[in-house]
Amino acid sequence: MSKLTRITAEVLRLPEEAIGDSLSFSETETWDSLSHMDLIATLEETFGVSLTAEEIVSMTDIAAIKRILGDKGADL
Amino acid sequence: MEIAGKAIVVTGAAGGFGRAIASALLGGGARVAALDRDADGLEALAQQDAGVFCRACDLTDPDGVKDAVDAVHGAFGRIDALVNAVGMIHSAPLVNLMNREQRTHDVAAWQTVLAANLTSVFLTGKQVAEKMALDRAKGAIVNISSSSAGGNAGQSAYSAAKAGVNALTKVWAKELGPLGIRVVAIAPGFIDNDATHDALGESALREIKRETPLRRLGDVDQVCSTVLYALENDFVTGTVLEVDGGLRA
Repeated sequence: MSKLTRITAEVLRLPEEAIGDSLSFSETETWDSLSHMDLIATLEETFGVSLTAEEIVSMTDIAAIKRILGDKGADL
Repeated sequence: MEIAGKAIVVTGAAGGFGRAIASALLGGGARVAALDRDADGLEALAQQDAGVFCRACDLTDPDGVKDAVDAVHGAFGRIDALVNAVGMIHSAPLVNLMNREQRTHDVAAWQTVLAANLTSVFLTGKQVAEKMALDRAKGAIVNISSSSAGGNAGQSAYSAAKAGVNALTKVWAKELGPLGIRVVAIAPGFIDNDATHDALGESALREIKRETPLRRLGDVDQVCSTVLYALENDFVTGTVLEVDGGLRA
């Protein structure tokens, strides 16, 4: 299980099996604007990256999170 | 957060607290934007402290506040902190049987006091927090509350408004903390300034001194030094710092 999966499951209070590329902000009850900020802060701390406001609002599903963190060289 | 070089908005900057806080921040090397509806007061501040960015606006008007914060952001390029020193003291009993014409607390006064002390903080807070979030500025919001938030007899509106400010402080600290934005309230007790003397009178102030463990009124400089502490200490958030001589101990 990847670090990203573990973190996302913990912050969004979901089983790790539920974390897939298609999991999205708009279709996940526990992924609201507040938990999104919690997720962002946890990602920045864990992967040692800084995210811009534009990147934060673009992280609307797991695939997008992987792409943006991957572009920053994060070891997911 | 180091204050030197930071862009800091001060609301109510033409008033007693606000003006002193703006001067203290300028003295610390901050770039200060002073907001107040008192244009003459801002002019006096500008003459006293050259370099301060002044903008007159009604801090209870949503559009006016948005325009003012946009103007500050445009001038400074970013906003690192906000100090909400806007407010007005108001005293009136809930029921006054001795006043045949107005036996209960005036509703218009209630709404005016809530707007001046609470809505203004909400409006400036949300506009500045948006700028800070979009810029990823890891700064602070400091709200000047009051020991009256604990419930002063004769101050229904003022006490309720300041209790609301304390609540906003805690809510915002939780919401904005993940973004690195801290939110702190400072609750001065009875400070030795014109506003306190005008609002309470000398007889009431003598009684207050007797009830205060340190047996004296506070000084504006003690509030200013607490503002600097709240801005500078990066691990303080979501709390109300009492500066009241032990009155609420």
